[in-house]
Amino acid sequence: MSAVDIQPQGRQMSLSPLHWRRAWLSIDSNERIIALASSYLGGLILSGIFVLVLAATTKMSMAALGLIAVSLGLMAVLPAHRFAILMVSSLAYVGLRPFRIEGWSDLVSTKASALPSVIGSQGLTALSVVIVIAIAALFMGLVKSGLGGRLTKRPLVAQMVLWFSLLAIAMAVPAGSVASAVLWPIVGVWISCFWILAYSVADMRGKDATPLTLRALFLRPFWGGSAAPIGKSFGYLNRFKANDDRELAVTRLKALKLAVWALVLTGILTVAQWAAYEQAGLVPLHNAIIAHATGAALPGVVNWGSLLVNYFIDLLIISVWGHLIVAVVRMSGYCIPRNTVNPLASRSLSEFWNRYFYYFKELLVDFFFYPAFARYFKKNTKVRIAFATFCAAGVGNFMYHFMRETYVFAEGDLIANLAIFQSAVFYSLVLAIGLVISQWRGRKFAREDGFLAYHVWPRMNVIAFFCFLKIFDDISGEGTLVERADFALSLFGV
Amino acid sequence: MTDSPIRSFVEQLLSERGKSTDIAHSDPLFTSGLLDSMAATELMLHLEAEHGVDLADADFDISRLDSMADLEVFLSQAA
Repeated sequence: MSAVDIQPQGRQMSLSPLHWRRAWLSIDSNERIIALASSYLGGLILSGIFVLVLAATTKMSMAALGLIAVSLGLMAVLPAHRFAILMVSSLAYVGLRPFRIEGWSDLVSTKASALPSVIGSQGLTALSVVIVIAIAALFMGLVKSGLGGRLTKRPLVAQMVLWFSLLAIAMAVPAGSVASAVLWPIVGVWISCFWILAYSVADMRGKDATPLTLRALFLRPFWGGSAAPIGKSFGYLNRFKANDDRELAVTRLKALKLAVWALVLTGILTVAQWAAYEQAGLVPLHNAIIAHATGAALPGVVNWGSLLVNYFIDLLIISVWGHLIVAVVRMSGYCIPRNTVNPLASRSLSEFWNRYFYYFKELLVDFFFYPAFARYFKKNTKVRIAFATFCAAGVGNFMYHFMRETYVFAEGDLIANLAIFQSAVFYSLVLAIGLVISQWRGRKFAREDGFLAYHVWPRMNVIAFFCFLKIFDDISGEGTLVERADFALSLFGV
Repeated sequence: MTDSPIRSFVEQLLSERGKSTDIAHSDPLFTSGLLDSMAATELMLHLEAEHGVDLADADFDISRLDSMADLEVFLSQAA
């Protein structure tokens, strides 16, 4: 057996695909591979292969891939300086991509026209990043020192009050003014970093000793992701940090395995989309809903097919996306849990929520569920759990999406803009109610109840609930709540 | 701490969820995904009922209950 042979030790060479699959899945426990990955050259080769796998998925922009390649390459060459490289890369990332979504970028490009052309949208954005870093440092300093009084004892509430105040001022000043041009980008950069800043502040109460200045600079990790931070904060990352060369090698091998799995899922996703949308005549669910709303309803069988296919394609999309980001985090030396873990195995709504988008669920639980559970309705456990769940899946879920999309308030009528969020309100409410009922019911079936009762029936319920809930999962404003409800009813011939 | 009541309770939570009860003193329970938020609520209820802990403290953070070692420190501070 050569040094790079990935066969399980002590076994004969086999051509069986299952044998090779087992060998591949055990590379992070194969001592020869670990020894190779621990070496300087092995680390470099591993990083190179990893970046090639990321590129093969075609799910990342060239700029993001370039930054990841440079960062991981430097980490492979200078493993002892991983933290410094992480800080510099993340600062570069927030400078290159300060907004999570295009709506904010487009708005800032428009607003920049009110300023001298020498500044431009890039100058305006860079200024906003610096201001947000200063706000973050000031805010964390106030919380740490306690000088902010009662308000800073509840850092999330304090941050929300400050952010909404800034939003209100930005909405109040004349649209074409210099003040408007300066304020909106700050609101946008801040909301892009809002939740990681919340985690950083929460971290300061724990054991993590990362200096405040570094926390303020770590606004968006270079591995990207949504506004829900994958990897949460320094305190969380440090719990999963590789502490020696062997642990680092194992963590990086796990990263490669996850990236390859994401590549496999990308292939399945591509085939699924081709089969559903180009061969079977189905359409994306959103298109089916809009067609129905505009009087050009598609046949019932197409609507049903589109609804079901949308569920599975959505699972594949979120899995690929999350696996790639978690893989980059692991490649950086932090063996954090996966974002999506076999969601089809979920036997209850709350289990699905945990398996589908772990870090978003964690955000809602950390900042809404636990605080509410710890404080309210302590005399009645059922009501206590229900209220905390409503705060997380209902209020928190809606606030997260609403705050992210507030660029729409930069122009147009306030009431009309608020109406954009009607489906999101309904979605959050139904999700919260569903989760409360799911938790109240508890674990209803045991293995002894049989295969159908234990495995099949609960999973079918979960799939059905989220399939239909997806009809209302909209933040675009296209298709009103009534139109979406009408589409749902039309599936049953109503 | 091997046979402490709180360890027994955590092991019961793990066992009910089909997880191994063979956990080290410093193994993360919640941040690792080993236990979910519903298990956390059960643990919080247990701490309130059996140990008289008030979790409404503004400084409360679930990471303070994240391992057997954390729980030991938390309970000694709350005592």
